[in-house]
Amino acid sequence: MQSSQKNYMNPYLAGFLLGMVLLASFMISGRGLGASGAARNVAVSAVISAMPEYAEQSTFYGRFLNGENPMASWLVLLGIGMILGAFLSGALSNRLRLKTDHGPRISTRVRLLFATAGGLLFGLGAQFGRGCTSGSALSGMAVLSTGGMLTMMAIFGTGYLIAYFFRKLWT
Amino acid sequence: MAPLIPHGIINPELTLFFALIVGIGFGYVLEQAGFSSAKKLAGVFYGYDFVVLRVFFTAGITAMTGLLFFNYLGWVDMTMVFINPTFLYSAITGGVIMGFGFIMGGYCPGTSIVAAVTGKIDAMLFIIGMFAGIFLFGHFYDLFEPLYNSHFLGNIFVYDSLGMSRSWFALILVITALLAFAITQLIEDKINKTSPEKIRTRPSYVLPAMLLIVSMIVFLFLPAERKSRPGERAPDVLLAEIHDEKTYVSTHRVIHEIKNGHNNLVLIDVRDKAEYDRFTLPGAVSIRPDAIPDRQWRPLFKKDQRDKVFFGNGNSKAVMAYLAASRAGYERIYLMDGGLNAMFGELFADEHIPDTTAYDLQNRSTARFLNSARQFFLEGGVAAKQEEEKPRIQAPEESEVIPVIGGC
Amino acid sequence: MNNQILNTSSTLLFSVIMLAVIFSLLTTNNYRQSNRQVLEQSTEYPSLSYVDLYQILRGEGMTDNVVLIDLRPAEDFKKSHLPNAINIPSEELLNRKHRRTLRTKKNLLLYAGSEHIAVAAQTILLAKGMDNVKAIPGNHHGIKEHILDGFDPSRAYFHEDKARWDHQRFMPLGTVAR
Repeated sequence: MQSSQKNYMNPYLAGFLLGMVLLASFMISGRGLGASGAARNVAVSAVISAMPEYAEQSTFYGRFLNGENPMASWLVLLGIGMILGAFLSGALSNRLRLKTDHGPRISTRVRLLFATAGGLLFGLGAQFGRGCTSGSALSGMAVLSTGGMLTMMAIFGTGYLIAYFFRKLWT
Repeated sequence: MAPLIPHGIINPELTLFFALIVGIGFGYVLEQAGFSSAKKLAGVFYGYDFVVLRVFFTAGITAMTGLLFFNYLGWVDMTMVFINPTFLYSAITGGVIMGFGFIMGGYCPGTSIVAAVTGKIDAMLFIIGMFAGIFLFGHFYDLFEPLYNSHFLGNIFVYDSLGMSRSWFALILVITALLAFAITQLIEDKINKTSPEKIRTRPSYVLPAMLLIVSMIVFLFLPAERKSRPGERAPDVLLAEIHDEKTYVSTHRVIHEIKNGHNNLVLIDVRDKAEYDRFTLPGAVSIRPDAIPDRQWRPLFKKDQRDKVFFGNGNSKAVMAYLAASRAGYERIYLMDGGLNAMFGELFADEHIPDTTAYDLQNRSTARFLNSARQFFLEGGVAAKQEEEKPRIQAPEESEVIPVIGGC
Repeated sequence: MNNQILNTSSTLLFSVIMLAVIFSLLTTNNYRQSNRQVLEQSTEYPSLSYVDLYQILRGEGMTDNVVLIDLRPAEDFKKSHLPNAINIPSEELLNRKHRRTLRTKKNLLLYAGSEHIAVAAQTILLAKGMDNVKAIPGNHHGIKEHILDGFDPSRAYFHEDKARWDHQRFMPLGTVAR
């Protein structure tokens, strides 16, 4: 099975194509790409439908109550498209299988624990950064926004600063 | 002109469909690049795999170069593009938190979605964690709010923050990225102990790199702002139009149209708002000359098939408005010759009304026309019509395209 | 293989952009000021008053610094014109032969048979990047009558875009919409 997996695309070609997708996104809708926004909108509408009283009292969820349905937005449909596109690509390249990626020195359980913690931090940080690596850093870089570039430098800068302390996870 | 949806070129109802299409492209490319593997992603911090940096920066500079040129060529209107707002400390705090999240989780939101779809269990847990993080933020929002909204600097550009010109910054960014590609390749080879054989057979990227640098250097020599826009009419055409009597509509025709309640003309009052509010012709819309190029009036000039007639008190302001509209490439535009001064001078200053007793058919019919027009105006025909026809054209609301809560 | 796709597609994109840039440079109208910039300047209308013009015509102030341009047809110009005026018929404003006359550091004061022609000429010259052009309010006849033949103080700040009447008074009382 392992041998039938196709190789990954040349990173520069992938980057070029990603740039084209990003450009297309700007040309069509006037905004860049993003992923955490979809997650946020899903989370928000889940809270609104499950706990309406809680949502009404909250300043954060309250902002979404009177606007459009957060599920029927550009961001969420973008997320659904990502799922379809990734599935398509994984199927074509024969890479669809259940597994866990982890460094050689840790167990699967540790990896899963850290993945959850990392997700939590990313979910939180993406709110502060008004977007994640794609929405704030990548799209922000394409339009040369100060905020986007700052977020990008903060993400990678922090990553390199603390990489040493987490080396056991990956190497 | 792009962006297509905010400009109404693509039906806004299709927004979600295009979101899906763009999303499919996004997900496909991310998966093909190998972003569904946390080990590969985290490699950027340990030097064994710089794929993240390569894909990320190539995409960034490609899109940036495209946007710069498309903007120069007038293909994309950057004022309608979402520029990420800068909240200084919130952006940095968020970045630092995300930096921790990246190292610990090995994914970022986009890549975790892609990885989860292809079956990575750690990515699924990452997504669950991400939702927990969002709930956390939502729950303690009141606590975070001061930081979240502090130091708002506007939708500013990094070249302005650094005090350099846009084209120089873009060139420096491109060169930095290309240097980073070369250096990280060396580091990666050293850490992975790549065999010299493999390095020698590696494809060369000189061509695309050179193309990028050349295009950025070309951009450096292009004027920062194009004074001539595509689709504009040339100055000699404008000059010829001013001398062409077809440009002018007589006050008689306008009176005739008003009197008969026809809806064939769009009357555009170019006087000041105060004058317009005090009195205007029935159904006239107020557009000062300097507002002619505003985006909100585009549909009126581009889509309305009726003749547009500019009028002021005299001809001078109307001619400014006419020239601006004509230069912008608008069609079916005219000038009411002599303006309101001429119109009312003729109607109400007696010497202009020809002698009806004279044996001159031309004169007599003109006189009859003017007399009936005068009667019509004095009987309040204008005022009454004004009431009923006023809402005919209203300034379309500036469409709100820039979402306040952007998010990625 | 992947590398070739990258080379081909980036070359393609590069050539499309460069061709578009070259095309746009070739087909440009050579405006030196954008539509908006021209409007910003020209809506300071009128940019000259008869008081200023009176002083200029009497040789007071900055006479040396001023060139009067008569935009009427040559035959009208021959019959009469303001002292020291140069004739450039408005149709020929952009002709090559007048380029030298217009290329001056002095202030160009434009007048014509009717005011809006002078204003139009001012607008077009502003768009061509000149910032030393001003349209004189009124037409040749009016300027001659109210300045040269005796200064009429009641016309000191005259221009043709002033409302000659309060138009509202032609509406019967009580029926006026606002």
